[in-house]
Amino acid sequence: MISVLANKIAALEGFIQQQTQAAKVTAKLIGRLGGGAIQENWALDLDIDGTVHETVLRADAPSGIAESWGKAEEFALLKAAHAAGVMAPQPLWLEPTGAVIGQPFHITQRLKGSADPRKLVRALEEEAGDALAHELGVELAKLHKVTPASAPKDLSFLPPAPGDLIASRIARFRGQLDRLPEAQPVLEWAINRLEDEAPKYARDTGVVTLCHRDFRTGNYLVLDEKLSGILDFEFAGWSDPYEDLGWFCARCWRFGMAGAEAGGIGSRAAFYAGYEAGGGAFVDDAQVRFWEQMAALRWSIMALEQAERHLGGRERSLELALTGLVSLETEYDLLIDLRLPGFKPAPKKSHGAAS
Amino acid sequence: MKRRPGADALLDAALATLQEDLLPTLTGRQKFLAAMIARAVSVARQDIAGAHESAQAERNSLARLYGQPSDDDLATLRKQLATDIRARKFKPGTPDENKLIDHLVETTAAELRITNTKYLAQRQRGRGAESAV
Repeated sequence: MISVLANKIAALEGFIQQQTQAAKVTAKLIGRLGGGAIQENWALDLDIDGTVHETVLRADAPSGIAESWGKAEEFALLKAAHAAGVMAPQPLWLEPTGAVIGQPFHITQRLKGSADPRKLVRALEEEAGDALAHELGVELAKLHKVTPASAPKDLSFLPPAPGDLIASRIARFRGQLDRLPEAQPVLEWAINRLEDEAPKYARDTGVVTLCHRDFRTGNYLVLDEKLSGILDFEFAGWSDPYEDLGWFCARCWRFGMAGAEAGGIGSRAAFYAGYEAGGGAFVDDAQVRFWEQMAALRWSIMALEQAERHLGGRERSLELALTGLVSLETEYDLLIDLRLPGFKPAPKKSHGAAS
Repeated sequence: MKRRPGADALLDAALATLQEDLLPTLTGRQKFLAAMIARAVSVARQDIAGAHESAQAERNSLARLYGQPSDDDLATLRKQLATDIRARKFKPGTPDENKLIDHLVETTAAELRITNTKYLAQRQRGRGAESAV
């Protein structure tokens, strides 16, 4: 797409000029940003009447996945998150038709920092990691303050949360497996197991909030060990806040640092404390652990779906193909972790930090 | 096999060239892409080496689980197993389910020996491991 976008610079400048009513706009394509299995992100410097704005242009990858929102919806979600005080990049302009560069896109402020999960989990010492986990808890609590009743009209496209959320997620998992070409015995067993456990964890509180639904290490920016931005709102929707808490803590998103149970960066205690300090409800550890297993299952299936985007011929990508292999690791995790009482490993006699 | 080099030797040579001669000279996205190619070739190499053995092991394990061998191909057998699991033919907490879990653990571990031995070893030692992608 680089050549495509490079050829559309004039059209892009015209679009920005129209949006801003500026006298002169010069766009400079800096390069592609990482983390683009589903999205394509481009660093773009826009000189608007002499002031340079560092921005990100975000367009859909050639074949998206069914669960993710399009650009217009993501733009509305970013606006809502930004308005709620979440450290999300400020949304600037939306082009929903595809007429300008050949596909819909939006442009946001470009925040500084790195999202690289593997470097991050290895670079952080315990104290800095806990501080970051705390900051992330605070940000998540801010997002969870947005409720269907308080939401801006812009979010009316979001379907209501299902009444029985766990049952609905489980039905969805089975539907996804039915659409995959190969049978998945391990995942079938894991779904049954979670279905059987669900009554213990089903909540009748009816708490439904705006959830990020991909809130994990790799989807936020860190600069000098401090949080500098929350990214990737393309899966957001109304849900139980525990779905986000569990997704963040799930083993598959610890990037090898299994002992740092909050996102591979810090302790659960620091993350939970941040969530509560940011105005979130008291965090019930048992609920989080249940949703971590739901997260493992969801990720396993998503990884297989990603591989199918390549294998089915929709988009040639070795990265997508290799993602399919990751599912095996999470399947093995499910086989171990789903058999632990309360999905909780037995306490170790000596406990090392983040190992 | 008469032809030399065979598939395994060709993949070994390709992988060594990629890892020793090409990868150290690359940076940025090129390095990322080459590392992914190395990983793909390496998994394919392991797969060729162990494919026959692991397929036979899975068949044997399924025969133990169902109490009888079958001539169907593995994809069909897996589909049947998945259908039986969804139909709740293995009741939770029963010896049947225990046998099922043994089978699932064994076959998943066999796949991981091909795709990510390190992950398997670390998980079996009770520790986390880096995801390979």
